[in-house]
Amino acid sequence: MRFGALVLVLALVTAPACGGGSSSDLGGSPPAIAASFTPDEPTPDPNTIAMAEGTKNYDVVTVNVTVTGTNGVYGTAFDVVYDEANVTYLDYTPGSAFEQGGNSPNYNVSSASTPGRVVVGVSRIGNTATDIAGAKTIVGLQFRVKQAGSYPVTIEDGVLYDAQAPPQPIPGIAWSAGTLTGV
Amino acid sequence: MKLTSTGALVALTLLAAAWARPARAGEFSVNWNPVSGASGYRVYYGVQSGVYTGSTSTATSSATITGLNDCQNYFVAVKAFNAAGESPSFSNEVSGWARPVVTAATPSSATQGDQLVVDITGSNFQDGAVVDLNDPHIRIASVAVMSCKHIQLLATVEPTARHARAAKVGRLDLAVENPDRVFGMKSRVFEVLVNPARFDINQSDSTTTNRIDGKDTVYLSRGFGQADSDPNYEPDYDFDGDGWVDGQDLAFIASNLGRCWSPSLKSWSSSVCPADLQ
Repeated sequence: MRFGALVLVLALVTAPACGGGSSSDLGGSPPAIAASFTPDEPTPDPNTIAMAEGTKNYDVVTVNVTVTGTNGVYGTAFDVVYDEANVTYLDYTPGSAFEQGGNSPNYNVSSASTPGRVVVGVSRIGNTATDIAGAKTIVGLQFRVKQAGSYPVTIEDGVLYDAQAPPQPIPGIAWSAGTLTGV
Repeated sequence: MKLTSTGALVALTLLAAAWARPARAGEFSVNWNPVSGASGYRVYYGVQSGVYTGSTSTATSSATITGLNDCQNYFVAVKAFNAAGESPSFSNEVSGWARPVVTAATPSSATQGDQLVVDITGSNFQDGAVVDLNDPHIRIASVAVMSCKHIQLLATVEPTARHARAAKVGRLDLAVENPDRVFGMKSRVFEVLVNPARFDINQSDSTTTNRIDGKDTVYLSRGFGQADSDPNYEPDYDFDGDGWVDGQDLAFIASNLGRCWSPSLKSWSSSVCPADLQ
């Protein structure tokens, strides 16, 4: 996450040197790479954690991790594994799935210790679960694709938890991920 | 000034010492009931009962005698005086050592879960002295006064088992109180360190055991915001032992996300994770 912030700051600092002139052309020439994300499961069934493409901006794409049609959800933990040589993890954005009912969830997302692996823990605070109707985003993960090609993203060791003390895994959850692409 | 009744001056009663001030070497503090007609008091002291080799005067009903030798019993009595002179008789006599002084604790720190022998150095420690670290979650046992300048004890820094309330992380004051209730204290002389092994609160499967990951954060969130007065308070999540499961505890986990436990380093490191988790 810190590294991601550093990359963004450097891009802003160096941009005038590339393009110069008025603010309209701040940043100079766009990156040669256009990034996108293709989910393995575009229309997830209920009781599924999946990935979906979010916003895109040249070589940066946000991958939304979603939960679909699941009741009694309290938190989730998983690792997202990506191709470190060709993809950079930049930052995360909070989702909306666990905010329901005015909750202020804990977001713990980091790849600082493990390049190529984003360790994620998102959880509601307190002792109440929430029911998820339809597909809602848990967290958005922002990646930069460094060069052209297809780069699979996988979810490892995923658990969706209920609100027992301590939280217990919700059985029968399917997990799916997708592929980052740079063209 | 007219001489006040001798009887009133004789009625002087020396009380137990007042020990509210911070410890200093070689001090002995006393107070007494004031008597009417007195303009001041002279405090006499010496190392033999009834034989006073030093004195100091004061206008108030208390005094602190300084410059006393360590580990030496002193006897103290008081006379009142006014313009006509001193009262003919002494007050009752009290005796005792100069107040205890704590210089150092060795070792000066311990990690939660440790049981260790601590040597306390200083002066004026008497047989039967008790030691207090101002934290009920540090159990002190086997206090032995090795000499008037050395106390040895066994300290158990909780938690030594799961679900036990942890000693509070930070620097603690250490007090030594002699049997005569006179005590000396040194501030922030002993430090309790957090035990990082405790951060791995979710060990529900082989992957997460000995690894800090999102599962640990979900567990902690379930107890987040609870205080030790709450029946659902989980001591295992209160890493810093401050009686709250709060953001500081979460930060201990969050700052180690993705790392694995190194028994040799007794810390969390990504380099010791299995290859498929690095």
